[in-house]
Amino acid sequence: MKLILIEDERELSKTISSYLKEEQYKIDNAYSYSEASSLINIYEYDCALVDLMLPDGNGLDLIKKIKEVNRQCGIIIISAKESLDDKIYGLNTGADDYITKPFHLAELNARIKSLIRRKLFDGGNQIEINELKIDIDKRELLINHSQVELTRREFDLLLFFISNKERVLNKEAIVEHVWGDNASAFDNYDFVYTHVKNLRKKLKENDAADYIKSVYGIGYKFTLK
Amino acid sequence: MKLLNKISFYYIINTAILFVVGLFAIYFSVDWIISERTDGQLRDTSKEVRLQLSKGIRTEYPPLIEIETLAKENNSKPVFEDTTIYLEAEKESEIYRQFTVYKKIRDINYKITVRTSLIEKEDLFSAILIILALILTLLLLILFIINRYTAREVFKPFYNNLKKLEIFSLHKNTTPILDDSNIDEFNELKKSLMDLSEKALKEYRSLKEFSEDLSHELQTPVAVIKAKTEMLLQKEFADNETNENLQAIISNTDRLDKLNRSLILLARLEAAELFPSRKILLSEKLTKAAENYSDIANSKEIVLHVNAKSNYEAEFNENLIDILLSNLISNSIKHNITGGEIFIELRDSLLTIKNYGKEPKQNPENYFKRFSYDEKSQNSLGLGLAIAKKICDLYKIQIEYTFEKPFHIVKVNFKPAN
Repeated sequence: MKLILIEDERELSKTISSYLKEEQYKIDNAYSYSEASSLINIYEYDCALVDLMLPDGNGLDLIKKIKEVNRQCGIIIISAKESLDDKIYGLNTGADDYITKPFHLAELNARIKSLIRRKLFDGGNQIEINELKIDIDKRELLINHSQVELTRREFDLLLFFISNKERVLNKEAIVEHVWGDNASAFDNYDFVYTHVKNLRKKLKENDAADYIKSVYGIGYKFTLK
Repeated sequence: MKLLNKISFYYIINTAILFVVGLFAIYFSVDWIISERTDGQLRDTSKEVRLQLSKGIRTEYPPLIEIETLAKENNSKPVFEDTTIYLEAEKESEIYRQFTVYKKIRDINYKITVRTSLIEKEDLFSAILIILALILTLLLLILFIINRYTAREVFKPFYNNLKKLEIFSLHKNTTPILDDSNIDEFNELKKSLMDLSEKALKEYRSLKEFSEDLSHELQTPVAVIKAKTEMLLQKEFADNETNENLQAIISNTDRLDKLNRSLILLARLEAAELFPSRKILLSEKLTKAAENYSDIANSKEIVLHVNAKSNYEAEFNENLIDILLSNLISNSIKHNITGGEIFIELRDSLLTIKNYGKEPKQNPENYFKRFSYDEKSQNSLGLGLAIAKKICDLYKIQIEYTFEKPFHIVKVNFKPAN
């Protein structure tokens, strides 16, 4: 899987790519419009992360260029401006998703994975981990081939965990992903605990391993180890 | 006091004083003139009587002409005086002016007294005064009206400009266009006012730009801090203290991020930016928003009752309506009591959110101001209701916050006010 990260803020770019490298992606960093446009002419990418405000050009033009040379490339806009116009225009230009700075790395990771899954498996969008089998389109969980009923939140939680397996997830990132932006205005995240507890219980009752570990003071980690 | 009234007031006071002084002056001069004329007449009559006497004719006409023959010569000087005489015919006293002369004519000593009634003079006097007073009052009145009318004309541009300045607002982003006047002072005032508002507007714009730029500039460092801490998390430190510190950094950076985003949104709402709108079924949005919060409400043991049977469709921006409803519902959860209840009702275009809560320490309408809260809480940025209010203002819909023990009540009417 080959990614290009077009972001002029070097420190941020470095951090994002080092987080994503764990996923076995090959990542090229472009810090400017010109750098990015020469890279996309040479290489073929599966996914591009594009900052709209670049020192020497507009990211929206880059999106058009990427789409011209490689229709298949998935595109996620990373923007500092929470401008609706940019969002609509960007998505119309051919971007697949839009994320506003600052974001949780886990959120970006989940978005990339979801995008790649959609691009790679049109239709049969499934994830298998040991005894777990998740059908994303049907929103179903099978453990050892038998279906387990999950609530909407529990399913979202599980999918977020799996997209970020072997990563420590803080509660803020979980709340923002599963409950949305507005819910994260609360400092009391007891409801996260309740939902994770229920999810773990359901996995356990259906003879799945206890993959979800809690990390003291911070959150959770989905681990196969 | 109004400028015009003030001017009229001084005008009346001054003319009234002048009027009284003038009246007195006229009184004394008329009095003097009449007395002079009377005395002159008496002198003439007395002369005529003496002439007659020297011709041997003695004509008496009491009490107007009286001639007395004196035994001895009297050298007293002629004298004018006022006197009262009792008239048998009329059975009353009247005031007379008299002129007495002692004179020796044809070797006979005479005391000649001529008189004239002062009644006529007094009548004349009062007639003159009344006419004068009438004319003066009329003059005063006419002058007053003319004065007021011209003042109004002269001050017209001033009042017009005043009205324009009253509705001037920095938010509207335009300098008021003030009327010209043919009075130099007003033109100077106009010029300085236009300069002043231009300057204020410029300052306001640059301040707004600055705070917007600042908010946007802040996002990058916040993004870097957020990403770096998330990287650090992956190290899974063994000691709890480090984890707690990391968690504190995360939640506070998060708070900073939220605050910043809210301020950006507020600035955009204040700038009355155009947000694309479409028809939105309120009940659907409301049910969804309430459902989103059900987990949080449950964790605080708060029961949410939703009654949204209306088919009302509002012309709204999709994001903004989500933000509005979310902010109102989250507010009703934040300021609730443990084990409380929330009643959300949508009837036609009227949304009512009623929740249990502590008695407010201030006028509930104040909650619509930014950073206004009864108790500072980690839970609240203090911007949710300010944003809700701004959204309602943008769409010209009514929102009100009241407290009716023990309920906090927020009402929003989605039908625009006009």
